[in-house]
Amino acid sequence: MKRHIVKNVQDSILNKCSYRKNNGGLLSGLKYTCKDNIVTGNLSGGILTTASSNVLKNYQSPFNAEVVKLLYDSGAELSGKVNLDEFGMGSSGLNSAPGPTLNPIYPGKIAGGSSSGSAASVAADLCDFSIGSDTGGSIRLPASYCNVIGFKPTYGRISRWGLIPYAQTLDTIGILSKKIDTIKHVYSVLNMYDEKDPTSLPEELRKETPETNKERLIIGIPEEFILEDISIDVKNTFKQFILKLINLGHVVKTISITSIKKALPTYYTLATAEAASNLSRYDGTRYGSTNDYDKLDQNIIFRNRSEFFGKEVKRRIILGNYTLSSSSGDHYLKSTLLRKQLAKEFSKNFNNKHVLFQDEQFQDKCDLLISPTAMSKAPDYETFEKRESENILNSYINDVLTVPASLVGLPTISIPINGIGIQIMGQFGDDKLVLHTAEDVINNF
Amino acid sequence: MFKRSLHKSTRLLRQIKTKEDIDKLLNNPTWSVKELSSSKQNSNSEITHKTVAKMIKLSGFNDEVTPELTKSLNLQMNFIEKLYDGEEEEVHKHSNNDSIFRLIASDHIPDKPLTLKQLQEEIKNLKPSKEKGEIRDDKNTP
Amino acid sequence: MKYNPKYIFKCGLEIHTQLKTKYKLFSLSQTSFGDSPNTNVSFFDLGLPGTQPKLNTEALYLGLIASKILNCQIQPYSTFDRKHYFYPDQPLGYQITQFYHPLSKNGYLKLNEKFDGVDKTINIQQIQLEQDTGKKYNDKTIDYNRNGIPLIEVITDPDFENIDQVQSFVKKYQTLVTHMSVCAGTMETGAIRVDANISVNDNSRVEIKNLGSSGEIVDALKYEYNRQIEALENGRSIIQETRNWNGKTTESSRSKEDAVDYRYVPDSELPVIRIDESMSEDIGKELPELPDDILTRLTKSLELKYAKFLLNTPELLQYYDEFNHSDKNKWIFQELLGQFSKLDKQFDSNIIPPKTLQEIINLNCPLSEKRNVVREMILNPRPLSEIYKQDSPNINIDQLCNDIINKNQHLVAKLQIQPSVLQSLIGQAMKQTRGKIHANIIKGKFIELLKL
Repeated sequence: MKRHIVKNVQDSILNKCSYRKNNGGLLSGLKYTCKDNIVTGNLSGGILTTASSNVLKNYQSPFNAEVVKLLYDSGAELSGKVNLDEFGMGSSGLNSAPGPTLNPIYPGKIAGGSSSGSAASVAADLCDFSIGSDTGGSIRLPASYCNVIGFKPTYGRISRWGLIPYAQTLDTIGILSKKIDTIKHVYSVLNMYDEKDPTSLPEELRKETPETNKERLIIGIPEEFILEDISIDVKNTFKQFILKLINLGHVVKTISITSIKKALPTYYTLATAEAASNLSRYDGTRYGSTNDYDKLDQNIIFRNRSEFFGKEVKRRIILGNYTLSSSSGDHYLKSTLLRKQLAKEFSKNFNNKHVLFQDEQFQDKCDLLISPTAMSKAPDYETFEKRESENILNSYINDVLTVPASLVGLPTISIPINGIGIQIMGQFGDDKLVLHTAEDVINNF
Repeated sequence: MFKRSLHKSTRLLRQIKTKEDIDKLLNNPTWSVKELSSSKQNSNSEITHKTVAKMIKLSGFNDEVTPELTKSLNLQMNFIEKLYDGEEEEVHKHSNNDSIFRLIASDHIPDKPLTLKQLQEEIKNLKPSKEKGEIRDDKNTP
Repeated sequence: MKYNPKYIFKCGLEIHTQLKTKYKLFSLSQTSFGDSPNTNVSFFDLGLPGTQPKLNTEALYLGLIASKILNCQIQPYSTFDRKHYFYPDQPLGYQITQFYHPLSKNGYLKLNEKFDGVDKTINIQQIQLEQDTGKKYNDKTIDYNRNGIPLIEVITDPDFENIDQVQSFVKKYQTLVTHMSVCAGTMETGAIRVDANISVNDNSRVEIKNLGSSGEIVDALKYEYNRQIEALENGRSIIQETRNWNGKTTESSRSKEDAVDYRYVPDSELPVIRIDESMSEDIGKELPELPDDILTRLTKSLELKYAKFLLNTPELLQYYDEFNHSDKNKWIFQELLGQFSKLDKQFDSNIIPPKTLQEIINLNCPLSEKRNVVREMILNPRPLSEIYKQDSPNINIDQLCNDIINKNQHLVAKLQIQPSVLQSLIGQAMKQTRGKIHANIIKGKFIELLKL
């Protein structure tokens, strides 16, 4: 098997451990890896949390993320912290300070990102499931490239207490695995209100979505997801998928959500602005990497930040500050309005009501939406790097199919079919239907 | 006009039943991502060297302004300019970030406004959490 | 201070006031002062990765009270925003404040000639909730105990026409917020910090930051007023900038060019604050007496300086109000406080509670005796009954003296030849009555009974 020689390739696992509680639990017997932007404290034996950044190279968190605590209580075993694109910024798995994690099952290809280690560790059977985070597609894209299932629940269902923020209004913790059953079980453990997280979906809204009991679902394909740039094999796989749905007795139809075309620029404006804000705290003066200093002042802050942040992160911070600053006019305002518009447009295409917007129920709209997850199979590492150096935007464009569901917070699962992921999206809050249908489809494929 | 709206409504209701339907859908893409990375000829918001320097400083960095950085920022700006595609040329002078769309329940389903009684009740129930490091300890933290 | 009539003084203040809460603004670590560095810091206070804020309703409550006592309109809807800048004492790299939609707006504080020495209404633009920062401990360390403590920032309109008004306002404000338990301290303890904006003849205004005492405010404003006049007289223009007071002069800290762009943006996680319209009225109903109202009623029978003294010593004010007497001013200020002061002891209302003082005054004995009792009680606090025996209406002097006469027949027989025997009889009676009855009264009774 030919394999491209790449410098500094990093295993998906950055730091190994073996930590679980001893007596039973729903997930006992299961091993998981945890994306290294989720803090692990004493419930990991004190393992580091680095966010794959030199900024947090030796950082040991004094507390555990809520998800780590819940998984511990359910008996799951934490077997390691896994690699990511620094601070969650990237969709390739190549922007990591410790080194890139490549695709374990398609040699010479990228793993995708930012949850590169999560997808790779699952694909390589190093664990039963992995906990990752998805801000613009960071679970679904690597899941697609590494041929595993990647699930991003409705925004607010899983507590973000302990998730190192990239963009707080977009960050969503999710689950990767080869088995849909495992994903369902882990989801049931993590789908809990947490008062520590101010954005946690309130208890009374968690069961608001009506059960969809019918056999025959109406499945929509937003035609704006049909791009010229989608590769032939993705098209073919998508075709097979649609046919399968029809054979299972579902109705498939096309719909139009025009705002999707502006989703990518909207996402990048908002996400970078939030990142600029959320990463302001890293200055090395209280924790994290620092140079020596005689005097604690602004100089050491600037020195530390300049030295330890990676290139891509810096670029996004600078861009984000531009958006936030008075120099940029109203890009920020425009983006947030577009986002609202997109959310409403998506919502009104669903039968089930949106648990926050509280629209009415419908009958003849869609129960679910589908699209490919990525425009191609996992790209070649070398080709990818080349294209990125030509135009940095080429790496952003990979997210075009995943970003809309992120902006709008919809529960979305990427189902792998020979190295090609297909997304199933549900109404905001309708995670149950998404998982149920995914299970159906997987079992019948 | 009529033809277009008819066409549009037909598009919305198009059910996919056969292989041919699928082929038709997949072979008629609505757009290409290349549209996003194309640069406008007269971009009225090209970032200057001075602005880049200012943004670097605002970001807490000591780095020099490099052509590479300026180029990539301008590319990203072009990308972001796509936000205004299809709209009339407007002078984007209004700079105010006073709005945020979030997927937080209380933004969309407001709680009942707080009364004094509720407020006082809430205060009574305040309880520091060890999990959050709120309980005092006499060691110096890291 | 002399004002040059050609140069109109204009000033506005921004007052940062620490709220008297148990816990911090966005986390429930303690706000207590004077503790060892970095012992009251939660994970959020240090800005640890993965932490999130949660509003402490105590701060909201005190912010609403402050709004009410400064006559502001409580906003039904207010939000939190981030103000970005880098500094070692700012762990998040931004301060959480209220820039776009503050807690309350459009209030005022009236200064009056009688109590404040000047007649002037100062309008208040807004009151906003925000976090305090950490504090420098030494060259290499920041103490984050202070970080995250709730502040209100009170922003006045530029209504001040002279420094007397500023001084008066600051004094009145301090009294108001301390008395109403909104603030735990004063400027001197660092709980209140002031930024002053000053301009002359409507030229650019200059901000002087971090003034820590009334004296500093006065001196800094005087200096700056004169500095601006001097500049203008010499044909220079005033640059809009921020300056610091170093005790002697104001010095430039940064100009508008270097001005930090704070990139205000709404916080992405904190919920909107929604206040019911009943809040303002309900808070008003529960407010204790306002300082001005207290002064008004006290000054009906008391000099202003004493009234102010009482106002600033809540324990004593409470005492004064509880104590009932036609001559209460004399008793409290002269007798009670006088004694405490003479004995070099701090006033403690528990030593001689109002009721007890009342009892002492009602004692059937001369003023000098009463003073002794007061003095004795302060020195050795114990019940009044142990210090002084009251005239018991049950003591029958006749019977007592007869008893003594009967028991001391041998002495009585000697009376004619030894008049001093009378003294020993009196002595016995005094002993039995434990000095409760005056010696002269007993003497008189014996004389009567023995027909001397």
